[in-house]
Amino acid sequence: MLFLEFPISGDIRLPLLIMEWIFIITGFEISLIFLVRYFKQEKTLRNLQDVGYFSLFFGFSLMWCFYIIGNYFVEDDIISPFLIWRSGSARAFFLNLGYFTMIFFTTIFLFCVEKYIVFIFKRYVFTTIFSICAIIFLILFFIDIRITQAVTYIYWLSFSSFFVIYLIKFMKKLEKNRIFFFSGLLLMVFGFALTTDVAITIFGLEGRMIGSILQLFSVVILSYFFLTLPPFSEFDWQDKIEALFLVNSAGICIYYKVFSERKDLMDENLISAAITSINIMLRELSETGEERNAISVLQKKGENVIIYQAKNVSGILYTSEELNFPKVVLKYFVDKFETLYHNILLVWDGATDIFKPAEIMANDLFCK
Amino acid sequence: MLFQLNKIQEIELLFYLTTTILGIQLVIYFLYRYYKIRDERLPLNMILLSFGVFFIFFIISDFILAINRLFILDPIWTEIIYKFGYVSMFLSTIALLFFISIKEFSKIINTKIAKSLIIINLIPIIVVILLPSSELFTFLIVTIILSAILIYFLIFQIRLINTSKGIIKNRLLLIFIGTDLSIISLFVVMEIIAGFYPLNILIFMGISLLMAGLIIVLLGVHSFPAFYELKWKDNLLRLLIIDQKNHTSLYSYDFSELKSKHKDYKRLFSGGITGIDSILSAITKTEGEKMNKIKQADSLILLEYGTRSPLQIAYALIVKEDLDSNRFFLKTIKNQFEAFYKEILSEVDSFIGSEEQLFGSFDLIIKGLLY
Repeated sequence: MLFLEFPISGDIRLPLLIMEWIFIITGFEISLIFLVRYFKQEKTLRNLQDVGYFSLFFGFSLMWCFYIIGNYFVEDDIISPFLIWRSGSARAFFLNLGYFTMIFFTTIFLFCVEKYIVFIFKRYVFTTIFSICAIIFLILFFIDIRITQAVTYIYWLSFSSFFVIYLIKFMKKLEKNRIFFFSGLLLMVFGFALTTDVAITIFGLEGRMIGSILQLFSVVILSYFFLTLPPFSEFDWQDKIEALFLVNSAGICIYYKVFSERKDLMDENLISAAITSINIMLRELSETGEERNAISVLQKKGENVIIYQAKNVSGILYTSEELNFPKVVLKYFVDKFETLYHNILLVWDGATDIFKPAEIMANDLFCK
Repeated sequence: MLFQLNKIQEIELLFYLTTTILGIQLVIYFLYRYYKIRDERLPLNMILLSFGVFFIFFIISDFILAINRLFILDPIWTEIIYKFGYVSMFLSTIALLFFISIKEFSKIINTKIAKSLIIINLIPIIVVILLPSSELFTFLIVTIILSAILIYFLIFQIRLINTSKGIIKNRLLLIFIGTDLSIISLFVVMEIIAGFYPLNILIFMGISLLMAGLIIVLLGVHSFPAFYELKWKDNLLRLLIIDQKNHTSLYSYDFSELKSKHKDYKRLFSGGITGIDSILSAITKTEGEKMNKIKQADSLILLEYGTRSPLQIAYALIVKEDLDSNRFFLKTIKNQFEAFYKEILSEVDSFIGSEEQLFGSFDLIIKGLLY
């Protein structure tokens, strides 16, 4: 067992400080990538999981900033009394700020993830458990700042278990680059473990240096992974698409395609007429009159009907779940169709052959 | 003990490290963007290369000066490293001046001044190499010449922004503001080196300015569009998209008020281009090769060919002058047309007679490309 003195001093201090600072900056940059991704998406498409990952990386980097202050720039001597406590040290205070930062931001991450996935029993179970943990941490923090470190080990263990479950679900959705994600995370966990006080007392500051290097590598690998990752909203949405219809302003079906083999639908012309009637009723009910470029969603158990009305054409999409991304794709499809066939639609004589290229377009957009 | 810095110096080093990392990423991004479009030979895209080179030298200079101040204690080594820092700084301004000296900019500024300043810029480099950095004379020479270059650069910025329009104007504005902030940060550091101020909060001010500058430049260079030559739009006359297999015109667009001499101009043009190509191929025995330019009196016909076989689509752009921007514009039109109508183009033979109705909506894309 090694005896450690804080603030860290000696030959290794500066290289270690530089290494840790570099991965903090990289961590902040990754967090910003998620935030930018979130704001760059169309409003209806924004997925809170991007904000969740922003919180995770931002919190991690901020926590390390507090660790750096605690480990390099303030004293570890126990002072009695210390601020509002009976006793404590400046290092313990900053480390606690770091712990709380991470707990706070991981709770935000959990909230954002659980908004879309039910893990056990019902939504927000883990968020509730971890919020309670955060409150307990805060209570202990105000009682004695030196006893909170043990709580964080329990917290990290629980969070890691949750994260493993989450990752198993998430990894299934990833078609490529799984190896980058997995190796990045493994390096991150292993590297972080080497930088904890327990590991430092066993392996010394050299162990911490190796841990920091591993974390830097992991941050670089994860940056690559996340930069090449499509938006979260784009995962699996095609599986939920069942049928597509295009109806002109007179209520005549000009194109339709059924994607799901299980889907049993009535005659397309009847559907077109029905949807046109619904559209008229909706307009009357919402008192919006002749509103164009609006998206309506009709929901029944296990069935969603998304209607997008453009100038001369309305698009109708049947989906098995209410998702945001198909709305945007439907809007894109209808708008493109209308632009392509603008002149044809104005003088359409009833021949549907001219719309045959829409089949290729629909396959490109709605099929995997 | 390897290095012994006090806590303030350590924090200063961490700040410098942050700006260096940001700067290196910015340089990589500039060079990457330039590499991606280098084949298009648009002269104004040199902005990406020039600013990339500018920031390489700038960041190196800044970091060298910081390392020197923090770590090097030996006066001889200090002096040598300062000289490296200064030389790197002046090489960075040469990159900016080189960009301004491009012939295209003679429409907005006297580029001969830029060329002269490149030569004048060598004076401080020589002065810094020959004289001690702490001499007042060195500081004055450096400051005066650097100020002259920056005033010229500022005038250029204002004129270029006034001439530009649309997205390019916004992006240029961000790049220039960011660059100016970075240069101002350099002045702060220079003053400290010259001994006018003790080491204090000014250093952190300088680093913060530099950091802000780099972030603003990064925002500007993000999605930087192709930089066309100035007033390139005035050069455009007419666009025709031809189905060479069926000798028909799929789409046409008039950029000017130019009136056709013939009523059936489009059909004549479509057949004519295909005919000229066939005759030329036969007489020059170049059957596999395609014609890419026809010069006729005061105008030029630039030609591009579709990539979607078995379709034989030709894209003809009639212009007044042969500018690289026009060629790039024609390639962009080709890519947009093929992407927008990819579903229809695969069945174009079944829509003979309806071409005008089908492809008329491409007007919207053309207007978008013209911003």
